[in-house]
Amino acid sequence: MTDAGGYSYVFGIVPAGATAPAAGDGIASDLRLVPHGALAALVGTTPPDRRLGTAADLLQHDRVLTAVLEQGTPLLPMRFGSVLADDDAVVHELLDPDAERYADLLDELGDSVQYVVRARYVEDAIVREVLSSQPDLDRLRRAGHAREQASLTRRLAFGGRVVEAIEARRADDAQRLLDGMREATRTAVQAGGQPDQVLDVNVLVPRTRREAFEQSLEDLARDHAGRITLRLTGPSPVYSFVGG
Amino acid sequence: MTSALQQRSGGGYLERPAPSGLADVVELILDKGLVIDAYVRVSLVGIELLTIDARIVIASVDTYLRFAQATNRLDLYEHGGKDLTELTESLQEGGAKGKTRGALSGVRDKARELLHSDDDQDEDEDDDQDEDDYDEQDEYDDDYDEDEDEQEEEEPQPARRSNRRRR
Repeated sequence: MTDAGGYSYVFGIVPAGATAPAAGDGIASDLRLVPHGALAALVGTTPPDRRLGTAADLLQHDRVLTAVLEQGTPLLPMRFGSVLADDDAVVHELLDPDAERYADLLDELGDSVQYVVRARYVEDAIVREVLSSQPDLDRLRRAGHAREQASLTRRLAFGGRVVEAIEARRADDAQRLLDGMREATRTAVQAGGQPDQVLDVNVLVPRTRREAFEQSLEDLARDHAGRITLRLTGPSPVYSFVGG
Repeated sequence: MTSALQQRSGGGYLERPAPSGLADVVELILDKGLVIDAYVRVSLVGIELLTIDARIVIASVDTYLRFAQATNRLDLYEHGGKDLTELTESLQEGGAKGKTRGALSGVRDKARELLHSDDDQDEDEDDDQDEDDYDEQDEYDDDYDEDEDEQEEEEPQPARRSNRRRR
């Protein structure tokens, strides 16, 4: 336990000499750097009797790390909920045993940021497209299989076929979008869920290429307007690229 | 918190939410980031709960209905029925009532309306569907089953495919 009577919550690893941002509300208060050689852990104090995991906790984790990112500081984000007994444990159990690996990772990733890109089909446009390319489906539609008056069974069967036809287009469209993200040095595609999902991808981009990347997304969004919508979040800490 | 990094680029086609809301943050940080050796971590009580997939999974049935309905809108178009924007607007109204419900629940409500209008002995059909309470979802499920029973017909039930199958 720390002198203040709490545990040490670790937000991330930065080069020694970085500056701790303000804590704000959440899991941990009293943010500080715990240095060890060329590295430092960004640490806050969290009460021992407190369960982690409220919305404010999650938001603080991201907010603090994003603030560090915005300082231009190279940063390895820790997984949410990383708590050690005290600052000594941060040095001896976290930083020291893996110092070399962390230093390498900082070199490799410190100059990058992460974006999340989400691409979704515009429902009406994709349905129209599917029907015009599959006459058999369009025949069923004309025969009334999609109408409100059709039986539930019939509508489900028909809707299921429409969904299948949409899903058959996904791989090509996703690849075309990925090809357009020329500034990406790495990508991590997330598995699919809804049928209108074209692509969910985490993208690693060098800080110096941020503007170019955002512009390329803007271009992709314009090129696919009306058929696919694109949503971009970030720049964020490189959560998805520091390994598990 | 506005930040220099999160300024919108001006093109207008790209959606750029800033700052990120809770849903984005959950998606972004859960199960990601550097991990401390499990033996070393002290206090992870409560975290495990959060790592279960919090994303809303909508049953295939709703999805299929939704796309059948999307197709039907083309019909309505061709036959001079309800205007498309009118429909989407009412969908959005339905979805905007609470963040937790999401747009897809709005669509679900719409599907429910459609089911209701099929249903002659429906007891609460009124013009105020948009005022519906979330609690009435249960009622919807009941009606739903009724419909299914009534309408077992010539075609076999499509296999219910899980939306999670790609995980």
